[in-house]
Amino acid sequence: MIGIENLRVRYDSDKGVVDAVRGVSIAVAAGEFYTLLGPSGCGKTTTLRCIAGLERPTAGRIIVGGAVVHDGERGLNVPTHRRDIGMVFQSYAIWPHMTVFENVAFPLREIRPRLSAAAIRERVAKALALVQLSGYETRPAPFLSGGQQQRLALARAIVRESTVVLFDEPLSNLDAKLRAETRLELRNLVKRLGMTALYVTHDQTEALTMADRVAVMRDGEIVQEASPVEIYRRPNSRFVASFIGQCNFAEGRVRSVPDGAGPGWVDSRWGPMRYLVGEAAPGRDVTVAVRPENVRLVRAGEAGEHDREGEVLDSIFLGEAVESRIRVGDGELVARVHPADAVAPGGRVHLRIPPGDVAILTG
Amino acid sequence: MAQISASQPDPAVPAARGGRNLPARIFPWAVLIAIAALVMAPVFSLVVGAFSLSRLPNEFSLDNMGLDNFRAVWVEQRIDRVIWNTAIYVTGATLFGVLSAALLAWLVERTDMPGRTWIYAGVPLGIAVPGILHAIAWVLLLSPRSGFVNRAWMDLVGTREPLFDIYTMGGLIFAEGLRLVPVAFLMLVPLMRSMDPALEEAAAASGASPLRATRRITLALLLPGLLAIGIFQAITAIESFEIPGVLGMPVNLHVFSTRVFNLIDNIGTIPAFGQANAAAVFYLAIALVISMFYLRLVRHSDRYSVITGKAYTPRRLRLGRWRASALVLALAFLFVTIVLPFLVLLYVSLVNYLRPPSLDALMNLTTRHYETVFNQPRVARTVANTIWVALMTATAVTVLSFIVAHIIVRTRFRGRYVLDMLSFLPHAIPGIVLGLALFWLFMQIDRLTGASSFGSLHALVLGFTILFLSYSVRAMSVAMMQVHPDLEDAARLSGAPPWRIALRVFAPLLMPTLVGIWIYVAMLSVRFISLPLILSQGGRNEVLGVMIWSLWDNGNVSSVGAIGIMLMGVMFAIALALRMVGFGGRAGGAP
Ligand SMILES: Nc1ncnc2c1ncn2[C@@H]1O[C@H](COP(=O)(O)OP(=O)(O)OP(=O)(O)O)[C@@H](O)[C@H]1O
Ligand SMILES: [Mg+2]
Repeated sequence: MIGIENLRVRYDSDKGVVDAVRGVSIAVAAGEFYTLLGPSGCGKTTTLRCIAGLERPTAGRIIVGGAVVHDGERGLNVPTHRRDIGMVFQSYAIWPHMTVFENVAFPLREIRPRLSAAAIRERVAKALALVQLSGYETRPAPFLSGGQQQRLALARAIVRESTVVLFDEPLSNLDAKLRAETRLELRNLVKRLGMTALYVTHDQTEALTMADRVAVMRDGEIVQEASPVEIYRRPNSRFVASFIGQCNFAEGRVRSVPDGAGPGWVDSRWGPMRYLVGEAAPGRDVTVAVRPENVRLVRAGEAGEHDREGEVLDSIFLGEAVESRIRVGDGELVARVHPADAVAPGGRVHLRIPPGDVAILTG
Repeated sequence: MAQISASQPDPAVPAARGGRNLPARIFPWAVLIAIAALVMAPVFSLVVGAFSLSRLPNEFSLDNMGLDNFRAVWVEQRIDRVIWNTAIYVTGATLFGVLSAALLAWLVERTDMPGRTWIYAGVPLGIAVPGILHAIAWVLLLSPRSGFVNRAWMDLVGTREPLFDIYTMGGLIFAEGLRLVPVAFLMLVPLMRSMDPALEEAAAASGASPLRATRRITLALLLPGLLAIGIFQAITAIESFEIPGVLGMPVNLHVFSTRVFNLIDNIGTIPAFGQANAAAVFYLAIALVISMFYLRLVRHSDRYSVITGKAYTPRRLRLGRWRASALVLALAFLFVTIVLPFLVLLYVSLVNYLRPPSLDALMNLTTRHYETVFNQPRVARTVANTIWVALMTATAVTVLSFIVAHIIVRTRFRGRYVLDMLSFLPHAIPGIVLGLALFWLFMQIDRLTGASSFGSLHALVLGFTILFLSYSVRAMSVAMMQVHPDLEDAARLSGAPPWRIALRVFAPLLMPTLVGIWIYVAMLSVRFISLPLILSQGGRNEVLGVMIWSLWDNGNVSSVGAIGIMLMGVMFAIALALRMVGFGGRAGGAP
């Protein structure tokens, strides 16, 4: 439904040349919820705006809903208003001189041949009902709360029932609680309407909870594309691992690779570790990555043969968990444990790191 | 200041506060009464004078009153025609001026026109050219028979028809419209800048074509602001005297300001003082109505500024192959409003006798006229007068508006709304009207006290102070509102008395505004000629504007050129200083 091939955007401004997007290719299937995730300035918005036709790519091809809307080589560029899209802006871009009704009706009034007034009323009512704004029709748009404005922007984006809907950090202006509530609502709504969504965010929680597929961007390039679970468990680079969630890293060297007989082994500052997945050849220098919540503390009596001994340096109480900094071998790592399992600073502990949770990074 | 004394009783030190309570409470009332006197006394004497049937103001007597002046103005002077002319002139000039300014502001703010930072810096410089010099330059270029452009055109085409006659309504509209552009531009730029481009983009993403998005979103959103700026500029145009005075009056093409002036200063006829006042009352009433309309409009126009997204990078429209044309257009504007008048005056000040530019004329340039000008004692005295008036006015206005704005913005003084209205009122009083009003007032004062206030420099300073008060009080209030009250409260908690808070906290924080207002008012009082034209009596209080006017009246074009060039040089320097302190003069509006 959305296809981008080798998209490039270069800004030639007075302040110099910026390569905002350098060769991005993605393919979003019909009905899929696809998320672009990345730190500030990595080119997410630029990519999205190219799909909307608000920005002109330097090179590349863009397909929306089966139609080629931009092709740099053929010099083809369909203007924004002829593209089959809906869009939710980060600032919402609610028109302040119109009522709630008029804001939502606007896209319908642009449809040719014209819709009847009754049809417009009906479709606006339906869209407002979907975002739970029924009853607010005559309210001037500026007199809405932040959350209501966000939902109004959503209603406006879906009212045309275009095949593709684009989101540019639509939740970033909401407070934390409202954001958490809205995440699932928004995903469910998009799924219910069967729309194809491209969602841009720099918030990993949003990406992980909402998306069918996540692409992590960095400096104008996609560095990894996978399902949320996959990307969390098997990041392919230090950048992705630390951008999505917290992570312990240690330099290491592969001793043996996993095979049918058992796990592979890698030597690290934390000592020799077992791992299950990884292609790096023996003797190769790698980075070993372990997430804090995958480090378990076991009592001395229950320690197994692969558990390692360490000393708790200090702890931070977070409420639902305790984060302890632990010295192991020549290095340190952070473990996130249930408060009941916490060990006081200075205490000795045994650490268990399941081999399935050890990631071997070559990037 | 009253706030401190009136609220928050402090049980710890009950007695110590009593000492400064009384002055602090009386002070705002004193200011209110002073401003009321300043604004109302001239208006009062104007209205009373309109009913006076005595031949001269100093023969005024309560026994000789009546409505004859109003009837005479309406029936004999056909003031209805003047109203009609004024309406056409104001509408035309405002439309032309604001639309040009909107185009320039749009090019600078919302497109990728090359060199836009230079255009942005250049357009406001037009403020520095006094209106009378603009008007004179247009006459030299476009008067039907001897204007340089028209002469060149006739020679070129071999016709006896001028290309464009500046002594027409079209000429008035054109010249005044151009004069409105710099201030309108300064008001429009922030308006365009604060428009979130996402609002337009959302329309495009909703399927609206660029044309419809512009019409239904951009224009609809800009409309309240555009309307307010338009009316503001209309007030400027209606009050302007310089352009119609030079371009309309000689051919009896009258608008309100020139008609009123004409009634008391017309060679060959007896000055009709009472009738002038009656006409001025009509004039003032119209200006007042428009100003009130403006006030109502701005009160309600804020509501569209509620929604703005978080920081965004405004997207500029790519002009593509129109880039060069846009730049040429903008440069043409700068050339016509700034470079051209300068060149024309430079030329007439250097050429040995007045004639159209030619190779021969350029070979025989002379500095003779500058020497003549320099050797006249009258010029030296006039320059000294002008400087004195500018310095005094600027200082008085800055101090006064600081005090008034402080009371309006920062205290709970009961009369602060009245004070606000009173200080806005002068905005609606045209310079000619105030001149006439003060003329009557001073006549009566002199008659009763035997003083000679009329014809003194103080009279000019007083008039200008009233005239520029509304503008500077508003600029000052806006700046003060941006100073967070906590800064003041912190000083108050440290135990500083109100006057020291004002001096040590406010004044330094507001320094750019104070300096900006000071410079801008100084500049306005040099540029403005309608008020001194009436209040000027002989050499004693002649200022530069008045001298240029009378030299021009006497056909002494070379001297006008020489003085004009020097004046413009100084004004440009001041305008540059104004930009250096980062002050836009945004709310300004005098010619
Ligand atoms: N109009 C422009 N001119 C020049 N550079 C630009 C322009 N717009 C964006 N850039 C640059 O391109 C890069 C990518 O910008 P983009 O807005 O796509 O980032 P983003 O990933 O959306 O970041 P954020 O999360 O902060 O919104 C940035 O380095 C930015 O500075
Ligand atoms: Mg962005």
